[in-house]
Amino acid sequence: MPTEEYLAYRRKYLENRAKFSMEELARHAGKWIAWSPDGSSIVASADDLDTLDDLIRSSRQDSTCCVVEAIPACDTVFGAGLAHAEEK
Amino acid sequence: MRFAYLGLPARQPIYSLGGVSIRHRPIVPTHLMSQRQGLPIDSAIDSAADDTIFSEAFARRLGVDLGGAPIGQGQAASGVHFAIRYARVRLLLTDGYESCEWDSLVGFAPYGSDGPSWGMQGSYNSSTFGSEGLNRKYSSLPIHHFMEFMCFTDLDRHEVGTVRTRAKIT
Repeated sequence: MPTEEYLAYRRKYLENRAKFSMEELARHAGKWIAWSPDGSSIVASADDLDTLDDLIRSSRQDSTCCVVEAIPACDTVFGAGLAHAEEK
Repeated sequence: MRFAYLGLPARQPIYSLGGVSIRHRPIVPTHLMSQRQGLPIDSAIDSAADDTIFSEAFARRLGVDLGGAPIGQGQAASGVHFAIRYARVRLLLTDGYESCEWDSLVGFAPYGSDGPSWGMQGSYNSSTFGSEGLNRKYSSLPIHHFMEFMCFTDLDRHEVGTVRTRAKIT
C-alpha cells in the first residue's frame, strides 16, 4: 500500500499539474510527456513511449516516479487513445 | 476519492465550448504495476470504454510478456479494428488522500499519443469508497468490494460531477 510519502507526492503532483501553464503544455501537442514527480515541470517529451523512456533515463529521473501523459494532437478526442489505434 | 478535471490546451478556440481554448478532461494518475516494477500514467476515465486499455509499450516497460496472452478484438472510435492482448496487473489509484489498489485484467493495444483509456472493466474488483464522510485513512480493501463511484471536482475540490460505474461482485 502507498506510504505517506507517496501520498504526499501525489497531492503535490495533482496540485501542480492542475496549475500548469496551458501555453507550455500546448508545445507538446501530439506527444507523450513525462512529468517531474511533483508535477511542476516536464522532464521529457517524445513522439513515442520508447523514446520517452530513454529521455527520462538520460535526465537521471526515476521513471517510476515520473507520471507519463499523452497530450492529444486534436482538440476533440473520441475513444481516448484508441482513435488512432493501428490496425492489426 | 476526488479528482479535479485537468485542463488540456486546444490548438484553436473550441466552438462547442463557446470559443475557449482549454478542454478539461477526467484524467487521473494511475499506477500500473507488474511484479517487476510500477509506472505512473495519466489515464482518461472513459465510461464508454468496455475495457481498460494501455499501450503495448507500457507492457514492455513493465516486463509483461504478451507473447502468449489471450487476444481480443477492439474497435476504436474511428472504426479501426485492432488486437487487444490481456494481462493481469496491479492498479493503484490515489488522490493523495485516499487510495485504492487491486488486481485487474487489462488490455494492451497498439495506439498513438492520445493516452490510455480507463474503461469499465478495469474498475471491477476494486474497492468501494465515497467522497463524503469517508475516513481518510487509506487501506487495502478486499477484492470482493466494488467501485461505486468516483467524484470529480474543480480546482478547489468542489464536487462537479460523479461517474457511477457498474459493479461486479466476485
